[in-house]
Amino acid sequence: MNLKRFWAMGLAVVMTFSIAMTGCSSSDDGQTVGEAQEQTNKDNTKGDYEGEKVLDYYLSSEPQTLDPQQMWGQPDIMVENMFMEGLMRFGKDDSSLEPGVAKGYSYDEATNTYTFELRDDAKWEDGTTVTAEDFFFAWRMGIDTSAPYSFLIADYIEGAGDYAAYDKASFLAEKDAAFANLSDEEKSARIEAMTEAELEEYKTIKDELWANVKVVAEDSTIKITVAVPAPYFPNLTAFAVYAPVKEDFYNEQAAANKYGIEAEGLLANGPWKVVEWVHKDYFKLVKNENYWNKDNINIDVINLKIVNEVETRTNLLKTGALDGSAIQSKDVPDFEDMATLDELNLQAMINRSDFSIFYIDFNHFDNPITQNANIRKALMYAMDRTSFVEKINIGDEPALAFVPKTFPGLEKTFREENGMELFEDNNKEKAKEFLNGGLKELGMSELPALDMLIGDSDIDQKVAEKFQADWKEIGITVNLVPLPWGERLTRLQNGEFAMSAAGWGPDYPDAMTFLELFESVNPNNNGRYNNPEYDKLIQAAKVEEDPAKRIQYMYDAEKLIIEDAVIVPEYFRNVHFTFKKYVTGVVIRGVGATTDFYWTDIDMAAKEADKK
Amino acid sequence: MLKYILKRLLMAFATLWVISTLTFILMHALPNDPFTDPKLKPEVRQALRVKYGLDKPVPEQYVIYMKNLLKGDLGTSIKYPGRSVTDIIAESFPKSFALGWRALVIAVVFGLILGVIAALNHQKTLDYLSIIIAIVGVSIPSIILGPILAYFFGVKLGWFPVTVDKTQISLFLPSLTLAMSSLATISRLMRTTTLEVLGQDYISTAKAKGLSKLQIVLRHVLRNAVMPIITILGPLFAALITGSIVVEKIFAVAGLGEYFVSTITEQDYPMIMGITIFYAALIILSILVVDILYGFIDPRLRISGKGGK
Repeated sequence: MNLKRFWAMGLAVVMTFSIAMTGCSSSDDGQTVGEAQEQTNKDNTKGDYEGEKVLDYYLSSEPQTLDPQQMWGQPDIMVENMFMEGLMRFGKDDSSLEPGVAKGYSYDEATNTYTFELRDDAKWEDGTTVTAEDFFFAWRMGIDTSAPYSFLIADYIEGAGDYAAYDKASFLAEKDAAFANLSDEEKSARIEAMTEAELEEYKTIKDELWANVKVVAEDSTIKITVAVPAPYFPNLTAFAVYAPVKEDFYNEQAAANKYGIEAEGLLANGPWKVVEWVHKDYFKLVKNENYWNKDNINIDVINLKIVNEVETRTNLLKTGALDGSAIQSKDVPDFEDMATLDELNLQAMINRSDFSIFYIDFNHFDNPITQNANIRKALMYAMDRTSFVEKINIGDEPALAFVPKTFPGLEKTFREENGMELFEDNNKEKAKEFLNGGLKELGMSELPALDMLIGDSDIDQKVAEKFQADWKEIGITVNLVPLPWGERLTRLQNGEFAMSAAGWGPDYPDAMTFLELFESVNPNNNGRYNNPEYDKLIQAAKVEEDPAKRIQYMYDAEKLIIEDAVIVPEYFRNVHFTFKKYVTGVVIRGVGATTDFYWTDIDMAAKEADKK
Repeated sequence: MLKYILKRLLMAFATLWVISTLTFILMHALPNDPFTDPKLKPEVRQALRVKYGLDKPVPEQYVIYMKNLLKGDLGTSIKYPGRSVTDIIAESFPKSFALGWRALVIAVVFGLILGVIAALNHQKTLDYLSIIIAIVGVSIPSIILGPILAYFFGVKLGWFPVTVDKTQISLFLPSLTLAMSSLATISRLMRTTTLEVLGQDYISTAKAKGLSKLQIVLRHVLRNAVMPIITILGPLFAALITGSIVVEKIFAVAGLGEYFVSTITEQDYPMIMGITIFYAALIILSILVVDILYGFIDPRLRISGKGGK
């Protein structure tokens, strides 16, 4: 048996090696060839191409649902942005907006009201007009179904919060004082046993509450009164949960159990419509002829093949079956090589932040060691993030603050405004000082080993091992505990941890989506950090109407996170994309629809030449 | 015979019940529930738990599930809200099946030929060659073989598409990858059994009767040597047609294989149950079919007429 294995391994090594060799030898002297190619490409774009413009791209997984209100992840939102359109659309950069169903909006500061002017040529794919009622129906349904992102409606629109909060239990509690004293089981039994008359009455109250929600349709405008100061509110209207739904279509398709889960159950009002959806296999979208801005949409057909494996995607890219792809961190050095890019007819990589921060959570409630700020700071300063992004997570950025690089701030990016680096990377001396300070406070001569929960993937392991080695250098032993997420969460909830690897990406384009994580009441405050001073800053920012003052509270909050080492930042993740030279105008974003072909054009003649 | 089949079917249902009950218990023993995504607010999680009946005590959930199962209702997926488990299986199984039966044909045809050739050329070059192929097939896992085939024949030579699309030709590489280890197993087994049969007295008798070598192999050797192969064919068939997560990922096949792993990590309870029951039923069925086939193939069992059991 052992011999067999040895044999096979030898063979495998030889085979992989020979493949690697052939891979290298064919990429000689690519630079000049590439330049020449670029020249011809430019000439070709002038030539008219008669046929359809077809874009071949991929999705990294099957969307969970394409019901705009119910979705909360990628690639669902990316596809939604192709066939749907809200009041506004995501713009070319992270904070800008483009007109959508609304031509634009105005804001009345005195009443905190936004007025969106609807265009009359905004149509559904069946040719009917998109109306204000379509939006209201969608928003109400989003709240009624407790959709994951319905808080983006309920927390912002005046009256919507009250509407969302009032449920059958509140109804019964009002009717009958004894209801409040029932056990949870009795309560749900009582709710299930509600009589028809009661349900009718409940519905009437709900309708009244909905009538109080401050959304008004008036002469082809929608007026929305916002309950909290949120300068970024118009951006939210570009998110899937704010997309319109045509009630008739919804009722019909929901009855057939197809709404949002089959191609037939999707009604487009965006630039493309879904004509084929073979689950886990592929999508075919074609240009929506009823889309108001169709003259400015260049791509006629989008084929999306569902491919999980990065290697498989790379193969498809190499054979010309894809017009572009994301590049995994470990392949970044390969694709930085101009010769390789030219050989594959690819443009230079797009590198950008996907607005994810990875960091370490501490147990702030049930562990005297990690409750000590000096110990946390010792861990923070001991880490060498620079060598980490050079050797382990190639292409990512060291995180020396909390809000990711290039995330929008007030005028510039949040990082530019609040300082690019809030602490020093890899200062072992300082780390040791903090460690000694912490040990003194704890009355210990040596720190016991700390347990750090991490994910169960190879990558999680590799990341953690690097920092584990850094901590070892200053004399802190950290044991890594790899666990699947469900189990990790149980241990986080039970306080059975000292440290835990964590990550977060934004839900909306405002730094609050990161900073509110450490508010004492936040459900994702896994370490249960509880600092009244911090809570005060967050609350102040949430009610402050002056944008400048509001963001100042957030700057202070972020500084406090670092000063107190509430968490320890590891790195900001970057994503890397490359597209064929004949593709132009692809927009890659960090929040919302992450890949957008709205402005994309393809030189089909060059594409066909490339395939040969 | 009919009575025997009926008895076996009854047993099959009992087995399925035991398997589904065990799966149900194990699945609920996993820490936490499907709604652990930090992006879901607590209210949303609670609403989802209520929607899927996970707020009820586990024994009650079991009773509800079993009642629905008897009605043939496998429930709806949690990961893909609204999509019924039956639909998901019905949609993805044909794609795994398309690869699986091709892999089985490749494995059986080439496995048998290789095995017989090796045995007939015992300890000669052809024997060693077939041993090498078998060792390579068994010891190189599909996670290595697949990418090598995809890269070499797909990317470098460009003979085949690197992922499965609507064309027949695109099924070749994944089927071959899927077939390799079974092919190797079959050829080794066939070599051994053929050698054994070749040493039997009745082969000497056949030789003495003056039958040609080809006639001996076709009429006497193959028939007897193939019996053990048929035994493993049932489970092998079930395993191949239900797909492999590795092959399906490498060649981007929208098959069933991936669900065996992903549904568990996602704790998609109805999907875990549905897939397990489906796979178990397939295995039980294919073993049953093989047992019945025995009676037709093995002359000794045919004489006794009762399937020998």
